Amino acid sequence: MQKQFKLITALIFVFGLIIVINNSTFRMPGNQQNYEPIQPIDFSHRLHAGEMEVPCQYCHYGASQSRHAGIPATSVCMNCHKYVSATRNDLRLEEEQAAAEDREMRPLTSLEIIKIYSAMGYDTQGNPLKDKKGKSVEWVKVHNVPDFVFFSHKPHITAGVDCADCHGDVASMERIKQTENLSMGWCLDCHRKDHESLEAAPERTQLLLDCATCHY
Amino acid sequence: MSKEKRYWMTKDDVTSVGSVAGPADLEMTSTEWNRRDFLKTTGFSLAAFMTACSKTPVNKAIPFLIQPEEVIPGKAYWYASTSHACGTGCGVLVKNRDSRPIKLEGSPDHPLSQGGLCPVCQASIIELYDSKRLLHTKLSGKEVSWNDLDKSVVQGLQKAREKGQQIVLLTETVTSPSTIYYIQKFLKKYSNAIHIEYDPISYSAILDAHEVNYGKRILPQYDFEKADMILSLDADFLGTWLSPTQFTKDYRKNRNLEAKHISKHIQVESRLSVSGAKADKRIVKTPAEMLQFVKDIEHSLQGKDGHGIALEIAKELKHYKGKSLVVSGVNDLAIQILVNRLNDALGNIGKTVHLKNPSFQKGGSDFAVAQLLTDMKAGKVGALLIAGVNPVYDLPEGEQFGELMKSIPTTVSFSAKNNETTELCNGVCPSPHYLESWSDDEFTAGVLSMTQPTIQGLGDTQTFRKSIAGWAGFSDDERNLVRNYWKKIYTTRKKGSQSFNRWWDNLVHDGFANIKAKSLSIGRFTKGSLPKSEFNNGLTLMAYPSLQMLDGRHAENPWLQELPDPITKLTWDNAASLSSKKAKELGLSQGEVVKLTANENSVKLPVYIQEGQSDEVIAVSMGYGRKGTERFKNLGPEWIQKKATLGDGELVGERINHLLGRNENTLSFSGISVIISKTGKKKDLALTQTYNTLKNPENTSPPSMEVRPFIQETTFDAYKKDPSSGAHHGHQVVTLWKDDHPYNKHHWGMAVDLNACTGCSACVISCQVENNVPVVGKDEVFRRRDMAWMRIDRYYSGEGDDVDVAFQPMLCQHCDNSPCEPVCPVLATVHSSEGLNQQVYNRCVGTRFCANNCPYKVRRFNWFDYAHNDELENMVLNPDVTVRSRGVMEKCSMCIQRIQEAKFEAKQKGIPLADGDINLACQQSCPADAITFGDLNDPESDISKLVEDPRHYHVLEELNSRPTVGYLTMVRNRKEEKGGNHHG
Repeated sequence: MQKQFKLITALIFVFGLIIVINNSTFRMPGNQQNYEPIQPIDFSHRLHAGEMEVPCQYCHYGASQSRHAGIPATSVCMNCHKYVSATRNDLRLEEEQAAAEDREMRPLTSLEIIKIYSAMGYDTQGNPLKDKKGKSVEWVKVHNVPDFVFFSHKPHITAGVDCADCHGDVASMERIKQTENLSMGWCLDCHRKDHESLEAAPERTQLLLDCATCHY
Repeated sequence: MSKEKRYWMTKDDVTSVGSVAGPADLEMTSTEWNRRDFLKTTGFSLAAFMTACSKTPVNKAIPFLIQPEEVIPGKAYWYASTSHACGTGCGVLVKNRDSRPIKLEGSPDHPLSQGGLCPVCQASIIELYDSKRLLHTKLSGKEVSWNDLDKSVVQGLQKAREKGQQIVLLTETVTSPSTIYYIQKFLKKYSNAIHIEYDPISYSAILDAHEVNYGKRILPQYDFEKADMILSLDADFLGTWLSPTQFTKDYRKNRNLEAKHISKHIQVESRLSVSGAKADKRIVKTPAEMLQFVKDIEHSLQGKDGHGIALEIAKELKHYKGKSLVVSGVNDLAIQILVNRLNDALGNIGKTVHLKNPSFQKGGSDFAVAQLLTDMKAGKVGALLIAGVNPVYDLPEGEQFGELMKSIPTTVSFSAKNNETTELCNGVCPSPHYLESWSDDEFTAGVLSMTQPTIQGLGDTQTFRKSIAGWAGFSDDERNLVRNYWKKIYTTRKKGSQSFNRWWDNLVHDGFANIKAKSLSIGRFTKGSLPKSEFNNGLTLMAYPSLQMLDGRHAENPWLQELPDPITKLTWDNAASLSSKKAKELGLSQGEVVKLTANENSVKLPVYIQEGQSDEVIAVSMGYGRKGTERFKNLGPEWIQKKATLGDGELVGERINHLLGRNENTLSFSGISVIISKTGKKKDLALTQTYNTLKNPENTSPPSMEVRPFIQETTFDAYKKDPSSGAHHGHQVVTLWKDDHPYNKHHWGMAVDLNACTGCSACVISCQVENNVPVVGKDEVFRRRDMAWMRIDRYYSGEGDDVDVAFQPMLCQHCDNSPCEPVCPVLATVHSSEGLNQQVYNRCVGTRFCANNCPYKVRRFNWFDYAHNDELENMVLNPDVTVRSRGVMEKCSMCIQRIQEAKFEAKQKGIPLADGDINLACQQSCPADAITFGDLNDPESDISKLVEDPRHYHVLEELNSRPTVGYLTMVRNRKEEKGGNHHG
């Protein structure tokens, strides 16, 4: 009787464990794979990086020179959105409607772009307001590494690593999502590979497996 | 076998009696558990468990709103500026990360500092982020706007003018030409105003002596590079005197062993100073004896009745005529006149002593302050504007000064922090930190140093220049006040033919510019008559500025408070240093609290037994007992057995300024008659040299191992004959290790030249700033848990008065056969492919086996999460280095972040790393250029050459740990060999 009782307890424990592990929400502490938080502005990488083919480093200009790729300042958004205030479809609809009603086109600003304007302290048409100060957009950081890891974009860009190697196919993402688990094992998968697949000359890369490559 | 030279650290080592100083048994106390402890601990465990269950926090990423040009987040930018922390005016490069300064480094091109930077300047950066700084103007205790304050002050000034009372500007030495200009305008506007300068650590006697001898009150520039023979009379020119970084750089240049001869340095002093430790010959004299001694030298020089050591020195000085230098740090007119006479007789003027290009670093007058006190007593002063000084603390008559201030209708103080004087002033004007302000300074004739803001001001602060200009009727912004002044006068002073805009841009970019020195008419040398000196015989008090605290203006800097004094190794306190002979005579032991009475004032201080000091002198460091230091009462990690280190209302250390006296209007810092009496109390001293030593414990060491050769020392004569003299011979090293570390790419190595090191501790602070090393507080220092990655071990050799001192910077030796590596059960400390011993914080589980097995005692354990709850103070943290958490081991990483940074840079440029591309924090800051770092695999690198030097050795070589950090034998320029250094 005692034996059977023990066996049942053990079985329950094993089944429980299997359920927990199979459940997609279980992961090692600190692992944020598939993290896809809602952002304050519905910014679409699919549209910008995919359809419009804006180069990654136009906005994330820090990547080649600093440890941070950086999130662009709102003023960088304004470089284009001073002129582009709504989607092409909306504009075409308005154009057709205006033609049908025989009137001038009304200025159109999409709801998301209004958020940029208001961050800059502008009105809905993108004109500066006199007594309004801007306030930076508070984006939610998606890719996080622990404090005891030093990661720098600069040497990776120098070595010719493609952004998509680590960040996934951003050009097809509507909302940005962490596709890799960013664990040490995942880093080492690449650091252990010989780097022939990389674009840069092989002598510029070397196997970097010392702990102090990242931990200091 | 020759006689062995014994090195020791504390007197206990030699006498082998008594235990080490400090409360060694502290950790044994109160281990009993009561109900409350149990609840605390279970509660903590439960809380810890619950925290582990919480969700990953959401991190925000907030970009700039408007992208500033050429600023990339995460990239470091460097700006040239000038340090105003210690008053010598060293050029600095400010490392800016994301718009905040995080590190200061010596500017290599600056003519004064030449790349070095003293510990005080290095540490001053944390004062920028001090949450107790004054940020708002106050009038009678209420916060007001600058406009209201200005109005009230101007009213006060006008009232004083109407009443015919004096308006006094009381400042430290003003070195900024633009400020001087606006002060002059102010003095013109208020004809009843006078400007008084004083220096808390006074150089008045030197200035006055030059007035006697040359008819002009100037402070010459001294050239230690050209001096082959240096006679220093109580001038700690490598530690605190006048311009130590500059002097160390210059001194070092003439101590180059490749040259045929090196300078000879004789130090005559009453206490053991850093310069004395470095000297080739040290002569211990009381101040009274010193005066006689200088007179004897003068007599001997003139060929009159010379005898003994004075004659010997006179002969040597004569031999180096025109290439010698006599300096004195004693603030006594007679001694300074004698020094001038000696320098003149030796033909040093214009060669090692420059009168035509004087120094403006110090220009204060003790006489003027004494006069001010008389005027205040007579009620003649109607308004007192104080800037940069703290007279209530600084002056011997401070208390009286404070009382008198209360009767002055308008008192205004400019200060970055609350101090003894601001408390008594009606108006309080917050001054900006020098990293937030514009300034132009001519510290020495012909060199204009520029200070530019490197951060947006953190408070509503304003410089003294702006206020005084405003009150004189010139209102403009901070930058323009400086710029417009130079625009007006630059044609008369600039060198070259640049346009003003170009000149100004270069000035701001470089941090300095060479300009034409104002011409000075110096009178002919006249001998002058010697005034009477009041050096008392018998037991006398000597007050000296400690290397960390100087005059006390940095007392609220925790880094400096925790920096061990190079000689005493004392932290968080000052003490009355007595020679061991005198202590024995008086029946005093270390830590016993004594009462010192001088000039009718008294102070209670613990006794510190100091070797190499005059028996008739009690030396006490100044700068302690500052108001505001009560904030450190509970500094340190929170835990059950934590103890407050200060009583209610107690301050860190004791103020001794009120014990000082005046002699004919110069302030006496030494030779003050003092009465010492016992109080029967004891105080524990937080000394760091009593632990983490390399000494073999007596009960474990075999008799033959008693002397471990940490220090190698030789004389210059012996070195010339045999460059490897002083080296140890005969270590048979047997290895069981396979040579399995190939080091194919780089092999990093370091060499520390003990011959250059002065023990100034700049490297210690530099390392602390660079690597986020926490301050642990006095209580934890007692528990032997200070966290410094780099320490300076101080060794004595010899006996009694006649001790030699050797300094040895000790850091992780990055051994090729590291004893720490094989004992780690979790591989948290491993060897890198480039020869570095790496500590991996995230792997470490805190067994501390590695620290146990490290023969060099350089590993530090995080017993706690050290306080990082002051958000403002956290701004100083280096974002490239992990802030270590509780339970992990840490140690010197050889600034791996700098090595990586240099590699990234080289890789991006597509060029190989060159020798000198990597500058470690300790190496960069060293004013003596004692530290060399580089690639041992590169045969052309400086480090490879040094490894081949016959002077090169490893500490504890016999252990075969094969360190990559090596040391170079110390060489003293003396003839006789004091004992051998050979064994085995």
